[in-house]
Amino acid sequence: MEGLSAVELEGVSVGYDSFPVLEGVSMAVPHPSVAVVMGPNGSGKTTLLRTLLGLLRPMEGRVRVLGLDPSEDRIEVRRMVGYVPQRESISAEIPLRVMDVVLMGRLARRRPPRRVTPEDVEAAERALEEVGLPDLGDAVFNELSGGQRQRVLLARALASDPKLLLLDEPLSATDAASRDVIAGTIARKRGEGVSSIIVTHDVNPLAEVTDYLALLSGGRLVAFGRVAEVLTPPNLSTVYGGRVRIFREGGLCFAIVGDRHG
Amino acid sequence: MLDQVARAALAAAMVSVSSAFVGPGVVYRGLSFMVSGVAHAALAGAALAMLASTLTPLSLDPAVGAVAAGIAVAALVSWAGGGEGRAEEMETAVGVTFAGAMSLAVLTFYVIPSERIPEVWGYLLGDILLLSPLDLIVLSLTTAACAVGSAAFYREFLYVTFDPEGAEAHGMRPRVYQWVHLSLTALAVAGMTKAVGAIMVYALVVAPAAAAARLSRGVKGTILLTFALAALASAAGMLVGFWADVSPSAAAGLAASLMYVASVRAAGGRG
Ligand SMILES: Nc1ncnc2c1ncn2[C@@H]1O[C@H](COP(=O)(O)OP(=O)(O)OP(=O)(O)O)[C@@H](O)[C@H]1O
Ligand SMILES: [Mg+2]
Repeated sequence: MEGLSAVELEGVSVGYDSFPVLEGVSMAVPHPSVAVVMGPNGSGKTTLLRTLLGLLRPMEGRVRVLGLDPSEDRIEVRRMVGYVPQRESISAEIPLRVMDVVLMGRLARRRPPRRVTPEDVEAAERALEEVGLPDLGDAVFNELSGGQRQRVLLARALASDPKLLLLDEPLSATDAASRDVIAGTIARKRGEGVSSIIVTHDVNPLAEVTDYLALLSGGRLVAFGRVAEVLTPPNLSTVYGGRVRIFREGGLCFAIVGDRHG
Repeated sequence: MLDQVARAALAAAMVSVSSAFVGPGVVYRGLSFMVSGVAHAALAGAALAMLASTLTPLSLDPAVGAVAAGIAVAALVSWAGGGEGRAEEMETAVGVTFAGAMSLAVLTFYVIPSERIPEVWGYLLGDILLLSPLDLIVLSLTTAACAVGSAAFYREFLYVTFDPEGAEAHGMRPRVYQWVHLSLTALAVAGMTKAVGAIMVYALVVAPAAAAARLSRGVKGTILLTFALAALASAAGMLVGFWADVSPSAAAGLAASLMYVASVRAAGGRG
């Protein structure tokens, strides 16, 4: 699929109740590649992912996800996209089995009755293996550690063989080992032709897998491009104020950002 | 007499089935107060049905008014919660309904014939021994609807409760399932209000489910244990009720509450 963009935005403004949160955002992420979206709390990162999923309709501009309009071709787009929502939106009360969480990635896409087939179970087991948790199917999701939960949610996103992953802070509450697994999985998937758009407050664990970086501040796209071009002191101080330092090592860039959460 | 006991036992069994399907759902959603809201709305609905029968040539059975009011509350709560099912806003809607329903019920007392007022209070305290055949039919239908609906949409209800945004992103319609889930919940609660009483419904639905959620892992285990605890509490309530000649509902409510307290002790700091 030469020349196809994973996602493409042209002058996109979106908001809630006609109050704009993102304004005039334009960017194109080639397919397959890995793009990271950074920005302070409330800068519109989650809103951007919701727009790509077609959960929010842009007030202005044009959105394309793998060549399709997510608010028109909702079903086709959602069939190709795997999503990991931000931690806060997931209930900690309900004792779902890990296997049922991963199966959700496949069953939610179907019409009722959503019966589990042997292929579903196989695909779910494969997805759990991909994130390094092959024996956890019978565990209870909300009894897992933060990093294990993120990996299970990544497995859920992978279970339906998506072409694009949209991950909202997949590294929050993870330790170094889980970060390595998540970064490794994203890189492996890119090798298999799957793009990822990843919202994070910390690019460093993803430095080796990131192709493109988008910086959001107050609903505007401050910079978008190759990591080394975007990760510059002027850009970072526009977004985060003076609290950022950048290190370069080999071909990679690392940033130490003052305001972090999760 | 035996016939009356058999009817009461049948009603208790259906109440326990309803509890098993309703209780865990509201506990997981953090919406347990909705059970009380619906039960008090059911009381107001019964009063309104009597009002309509007094003022118009219609002859509406209070049980029908109770169920209709329950459904209305579900629609209101679901609407207040929006697509993400925000529990805080739903709880506010429940609280307002609760107070509004009781106010409405009291106002109807100025119009409906005074000999019917005790019947309205019957919904508050419940009497499993005084159910009419129509009450039993309504309870059977609401229980069956709740059981069949919950079984048919088991995964859907789990998924929209667990992660409404992820469910929608992956192609489900959380608003629809949330509304169906809350409607079945309201239907079941409205159906059991006359048997159990609006005050005690909370104890018989929420206490067993909260205890079961502490004691078992997994959702299916919680549903089964909720049924067992609700049935045990109902049976204990009826036995004590007969033996000591006190209200069976009150005794059952107390038994269920004690079970909850015991579960908190048994589970220790966990949960
Ligand atoms: N459902 C909503 N209704 C109204 N406004 C919203 C809604 N969700 C987000 N907003 C507003 O949109 C803005 C951007 O929110 P968004 O969640 O996209 O930020 P974010 O960059 O993901 O922040 P965080 O790092 O905290 O996750 C915020 O000002 C927020 O208050
Ligand atoms: Mg966010």
